[in-house]
Amino acid sequence: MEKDLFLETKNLEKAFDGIKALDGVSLKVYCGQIQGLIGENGSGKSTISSIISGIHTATKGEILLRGKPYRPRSPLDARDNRICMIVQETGTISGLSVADNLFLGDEAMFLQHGSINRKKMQREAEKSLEKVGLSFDVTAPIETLSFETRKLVEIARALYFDPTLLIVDETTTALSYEGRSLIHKIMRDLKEQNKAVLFISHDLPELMEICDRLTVLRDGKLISAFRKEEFDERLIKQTMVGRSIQDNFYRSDFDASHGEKRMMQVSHVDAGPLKDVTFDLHEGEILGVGGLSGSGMHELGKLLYGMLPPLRGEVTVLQDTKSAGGKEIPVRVKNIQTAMENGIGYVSKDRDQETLLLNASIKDNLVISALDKLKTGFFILPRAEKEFSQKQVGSLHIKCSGVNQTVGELSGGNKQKVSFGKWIGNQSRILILDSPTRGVDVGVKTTMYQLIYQLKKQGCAILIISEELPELIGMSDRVLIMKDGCVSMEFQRSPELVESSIIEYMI
Amino acid sequence: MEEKNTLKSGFGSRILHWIQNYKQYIIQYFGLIFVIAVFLYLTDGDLFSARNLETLIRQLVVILTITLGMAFIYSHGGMDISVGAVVALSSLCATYVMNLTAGQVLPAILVSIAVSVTCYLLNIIVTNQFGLMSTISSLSVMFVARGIVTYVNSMSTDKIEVHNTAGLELFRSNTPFLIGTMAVLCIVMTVLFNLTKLGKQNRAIGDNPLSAMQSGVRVKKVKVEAYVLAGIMVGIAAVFSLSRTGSVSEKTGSGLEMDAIVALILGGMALNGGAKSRISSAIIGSFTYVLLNNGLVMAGVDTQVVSLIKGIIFLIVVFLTIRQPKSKKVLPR
Repeated sequence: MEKDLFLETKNLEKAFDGIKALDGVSLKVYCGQIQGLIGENGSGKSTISSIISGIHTATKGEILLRGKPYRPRSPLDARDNRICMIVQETGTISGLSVADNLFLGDEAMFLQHGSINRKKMQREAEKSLEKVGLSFDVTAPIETLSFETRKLVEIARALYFDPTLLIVDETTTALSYEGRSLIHKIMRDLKEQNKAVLFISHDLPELMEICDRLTVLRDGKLISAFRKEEFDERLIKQTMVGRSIQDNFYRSDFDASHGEKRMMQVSHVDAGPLKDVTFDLHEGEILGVGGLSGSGMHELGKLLYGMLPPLRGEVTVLQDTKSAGGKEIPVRVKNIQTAMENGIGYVSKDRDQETLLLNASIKDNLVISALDKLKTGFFILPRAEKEFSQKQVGSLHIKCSGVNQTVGELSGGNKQKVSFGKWIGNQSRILILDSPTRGVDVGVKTTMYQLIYQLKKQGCAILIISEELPELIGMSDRVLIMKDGCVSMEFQRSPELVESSIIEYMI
Repeated sequence: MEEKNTLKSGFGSRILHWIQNYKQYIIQYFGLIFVIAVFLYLTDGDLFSARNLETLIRQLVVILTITLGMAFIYSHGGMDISVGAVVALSSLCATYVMNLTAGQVLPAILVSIAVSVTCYLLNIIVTNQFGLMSTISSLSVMFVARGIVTYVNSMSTDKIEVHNTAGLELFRSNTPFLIGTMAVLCIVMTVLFNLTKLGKQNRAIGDNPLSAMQSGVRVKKVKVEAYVLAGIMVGIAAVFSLSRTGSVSEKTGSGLEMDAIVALILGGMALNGGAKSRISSAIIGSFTYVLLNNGLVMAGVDTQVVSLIKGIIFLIVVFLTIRQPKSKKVLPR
């Protein structure tokens, strides 16, 4: 059955500073369908959604809304046309209550005798939350909610205005399993009500499960569109990267052996949400840590890097031989400095906010964690910096115009390579990678996995914290599953290990 | 792919792109050249007469010394408005030391630096410990320092002045010495800013304190180091300032804090700090500011109007430097 056409773009073009982000894209969105949009970083997915939702204006081309020309000047304008968008980053304001956030900018709706009728606003807020299956105190400040619940509040806000087209831009990447399923349900409900959904994601299996149609963008061009019955993971991936890639991009061996040296030891640690955590990390081992977002796995990374002081128990690292004069004794990880001195490197889950200096050059970013290694006497000479950063750019194949390019201008994958380079460059022996492939496309993922595997072969101890189980199963020698701050289960690498056998220890 | 598209977009937009990238440099040097050109014309070349050059250098040495130190504070995202009061307090203490030691200069310099460093340490410790904005804690330091100077002045029946100024003569009017000092300070500070851990870590903090911290930068410690350095420079500036007047009143140094800020901004300093901060902002900015000040007076502009004109120029520069081009900010990943 052919559905009603809701929105159509015709040869849409958009240029930023003369660089084309979108090049003649013609896309159709039907009522009662979930339209998926996928592509590598920088392929134009976010650009097209921000044009439709009125954040940007197109340079060329036109959009037809139910056959009539449509040129939104602002997100409000788009909302009046019943188009709402939920973005990847947080769209709520701390310090305001949930209800205030829900009706931010629309307080006038509750105006009564010149002041706002709070009671009415709160009642409406509760109602709108019910729509997405939530119920809690709407007068509470929004920052008391978890990241996930805040995201759902944003969705409630969008749905309150009864949109005909809901754009979901990579919202699910940051969410846990439960959060995702809730959003999936909301999208399916909208579809039932004959509304349209434009769903943008990196996660191909997720898109294939949810969407009725899938459009692939590459380099700002529409490459190909698939109907549900034509979905084929391998073919779509090939279309995305424009070259054929192997079906399995994880490591192919099942050899879970590693060195005997215990690089890091965690014994009976209580810290933050963590309760009685004990494990070892060995030389040349890839240890995966999985769990739901509230399970404490991200805190585990911070603990190992000396950012989260243990209340009880001990975290030790094998002292760097160079500083201990040949002897290798375990020392306590007291703070970030002891961690770094003993060769621990850490890449945060929130790469842009916590690991990189976005306004600084690639060079500045790479050298900042290796300043002591680059010193000639008291000085850090430009030549040493340049050689050092060019070496990293070369060996990691970072795509850039030069080491002086600003990191903020790079694509997600290249940014991630820079954050890896920071620690590989200063010869870290232990890498703690929190969600290393978050927000990174398939092509770069493959490179990341190869890199991690190479580092293992070189004897690095690697801890991968991830919400993606296939990644953990595919890459780790050993997988720890966390639940409510405890390690609930441990799995060894084996061909028989599958997601379904792990999930029950997470929930 | 990007390369191809840039070529396609033509010459005009490439020039625009270039201007965008080098905006800070353009404002920096264009401002200096503009000021020189305008006032050379308005004063029929008297701006660079031998006599006026000496005046210029004497004015320059104080402001340049201060801004060279301030650049480190600005580069990590801090701001300071206590300079004027700290200069007054340091000058006051230096005066007493000189009068006690029968005109010895070296102890006076050391005391001046010590007092200034103490003020700046107090400033950063309050900022670090209470998580206060650096501007606010510098405000309190300003009031305390200015308060002491005013109080001491009100208690003293005589004018507070240096009795034996012979030792200060070198700092007052020996032009080669002044030029030499400025050159040495510029070189030392440029090296510290560009080639050492201190400068690099300060800029990293200015960009993103959290990332800097996770890259092993001890954020609080590095900030303290920047403030100590700034304190040393302000202490030296106080000696130059004292040798010009030979006395200390409650007005000493007032307005210097604003002079320093305006000079840095005229030099294209990024107000939020970070990778775009450059030490040359202090050097070029100080030159521009002193020339502007001096030129306005020489061109016969009423002193009552000078402040107004400075204010307008300040606004224009802030508008040009702070305003971010829209397209760059919202470029999606």
